[in-house]
Amino acid sequence: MSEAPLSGITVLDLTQYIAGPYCTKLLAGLGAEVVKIEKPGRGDGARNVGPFAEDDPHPDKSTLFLYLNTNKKSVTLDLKSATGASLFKDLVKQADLVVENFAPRVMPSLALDYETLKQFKPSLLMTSISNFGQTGPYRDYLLTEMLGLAVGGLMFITGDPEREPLKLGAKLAQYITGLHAYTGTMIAIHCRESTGVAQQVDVSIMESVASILDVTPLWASYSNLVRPRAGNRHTGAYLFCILFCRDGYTGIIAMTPKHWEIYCKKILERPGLINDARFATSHARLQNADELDAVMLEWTMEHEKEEIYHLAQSAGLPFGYVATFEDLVKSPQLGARDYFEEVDHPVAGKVLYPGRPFKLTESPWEPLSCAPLLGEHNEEIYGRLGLKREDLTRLRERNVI
Amino acid sequence: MLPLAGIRVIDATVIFSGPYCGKQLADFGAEVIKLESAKHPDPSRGSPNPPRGSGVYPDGEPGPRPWNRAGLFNALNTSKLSLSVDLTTPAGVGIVKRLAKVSDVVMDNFRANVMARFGLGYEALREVNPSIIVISMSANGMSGPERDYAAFGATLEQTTGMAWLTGYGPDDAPYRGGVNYPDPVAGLHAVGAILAALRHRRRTGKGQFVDLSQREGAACLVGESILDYTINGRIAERRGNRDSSMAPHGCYRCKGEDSWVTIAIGTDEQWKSFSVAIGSPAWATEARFRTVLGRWQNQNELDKLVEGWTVGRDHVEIMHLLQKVGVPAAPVLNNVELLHDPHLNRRGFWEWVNHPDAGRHLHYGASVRLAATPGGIQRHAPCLGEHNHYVLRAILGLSEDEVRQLDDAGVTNSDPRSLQPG
Repeated sequence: MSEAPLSGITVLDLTQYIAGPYCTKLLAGLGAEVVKIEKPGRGDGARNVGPFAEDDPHPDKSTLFLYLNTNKKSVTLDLKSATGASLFKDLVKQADLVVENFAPRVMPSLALDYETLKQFKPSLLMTSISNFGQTGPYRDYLLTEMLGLAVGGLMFITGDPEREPLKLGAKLAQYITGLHAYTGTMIAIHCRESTGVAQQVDVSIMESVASILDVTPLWASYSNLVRPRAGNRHTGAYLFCILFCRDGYTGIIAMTPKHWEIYCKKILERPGLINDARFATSHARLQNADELDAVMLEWTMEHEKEEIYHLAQSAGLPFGYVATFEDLVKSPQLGARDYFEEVDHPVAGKVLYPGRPFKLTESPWEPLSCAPLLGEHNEEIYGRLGLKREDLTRLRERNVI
Repeated sequence: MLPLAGIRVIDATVIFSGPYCGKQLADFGAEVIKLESAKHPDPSRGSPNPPRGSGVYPDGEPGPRPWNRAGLFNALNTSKLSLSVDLTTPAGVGIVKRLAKVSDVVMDNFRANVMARFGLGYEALREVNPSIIVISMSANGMSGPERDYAAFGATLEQTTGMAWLTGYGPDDAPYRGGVNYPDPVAGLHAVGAILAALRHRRRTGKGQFVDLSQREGAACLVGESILDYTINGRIAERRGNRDSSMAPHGCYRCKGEDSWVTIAIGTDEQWKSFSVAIGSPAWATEARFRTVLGRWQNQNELDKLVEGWTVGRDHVEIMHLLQKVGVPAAPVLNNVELLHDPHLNRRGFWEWVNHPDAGRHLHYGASVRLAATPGGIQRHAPCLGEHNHYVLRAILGLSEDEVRQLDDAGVTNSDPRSLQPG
């Protein structure tokens, strides 16, 4: 049996909420030992964020926390106390990587900045995730999910041109930041192992969002043009829309003249539309979009979303359908690939979780294991520092752990 | 020094997801060789004869070689090299196999069976290089009943439940995002997959195949909503720009055309600071807005009142005014504002790139900063076939004669227009 690809790497995870925890969830799944360091009594703020299992606001029932902290260990530690900071430095001596997502002034104010920690472990890596990065004029400003999409340039182009810009429903700004932190960390690990260079990785929400805008920034740098909101249609050469159908929403897409022909002939079964002057070219289809919607809607209302999806794909059209979370969990495709995995949690129970973003054939992921209870691994981790059970009791009485 | 120096990648990917992965690797120093042909250039290079007004070109001008001036391609392929080789010819496939022999990674983002059809599937590549790492970034993965289904970012957004959550409200239609964000999600997952596989190879000598389903990767970004369904049987709803507990929480009109600011107030303290910062108008001290719950329950009126204050003001100034007193506020930046944003400019986020066919322009470079080995744009996105000579001569050791023969036979043709009728 092959070892997981990151086995042997120890991570001290000071992160909370989404971006940092998604980064370390991936590292943990790939075999790193991730020790989550949580504030005594309260823990990761995500423990207090809904939706909760059975709508019970219990720190071990937040779906966000349960999902994002699989395969991790949890210890409690008050970094603000001198004893806590000292214990943390002892842990650093045995670690490879620290991941943190405090405001940039916090780690230096605790005398736990990268340069200081490096004195305790010269080969230490540190990934710092923040709103705007470790430098720059907005460094200390606050962000939320929506604000990150706004200042990163994605919100302006999302939504109806006649209405206000729209945020995405997924927590994309935070997740994409977690993904950038994960790739930056993987690059830093590679660099350390191939050259011996240890360093800090600086990841920001604003830049993570501004980095995924495909050609949007080049509208500005190439031609000084503002890219407008495209609404729910494609602005370019092809047909794209999300339409109501009998049991939900279908996603119609025709990228080439050939696609349009197939769509008219094989799906709508109205070959006369192919050369209908109102719809024959992409320009005409955009001009007469409302009329075209009416034609398409007449057909979609007679059919179901997954029926349309399979029918179109069989005919060679890359249609989608708007899946609900029920559809997703019941998807035959995801089921056939064992995407969902059952995880048993002592408080939240045994349920299906989404699985892995890719499959490694030679060095597989660790089996998915449940998110830790607050401080669940105190004895194991502090035991490595030589602390005995009665020491832990003393520390707990003083609220250090 | 560049952190990924010494890694050679054959990048057979197109459009956004795979190229985004290749860009990350190349910006940090990997030698990423983009595989294209005159017959099948990356579609993001646009049409060889683009219709007037289509695509994004410098000053709107496609020029004599539009495929080298296309904004989408040039944004997503910085720091790479380009080899144009016709994979429908045995000689072309032979070249790729020889290159695979001296490469570390081969990546594609076609449907599951396409690389094998070219004779370049994992089995064939492993024969020439047993320790090769091959990653296939197909839409639905290498198995299952929908294996051969095609998809794009905009449809993956739908089939992962992400589109279901986006929209102005539960009764309004699901909305697409302004960019096809499932693409970079797949690209970033792939970067990590490749580096994980490289680490495994360093430790064991073994290469491997990585099966990345873009749909599965994107669905990882709505995990909490999936758990809400598997645990509670509840399907989360679209709620526009509103939040489950914060209020006011919205996007408000500001001074100027299509100008907006976002404000998100979560605590009583922030509310108090907000009220003072906007000059303590009578409405801001009303009892119904005093508590978290009161603000949330009365947010329809609250939103109108907040917008009454924002509408005459500049959205960047609002950010500074409110952030200085600890209230989360941020302008909705359009792409031109983003390019001129003082913070990003101070951080060196935009990099000047000199492109022989497209000119000198600002691009986004490395999206994360590695303090000791910063990376960034190493060179302009390559012109089609720009590095044929380097790859064939310097890497593969072909003679000038052999290179000329390949060119004469059209195998390494780099001019898409030469294949156009007329």
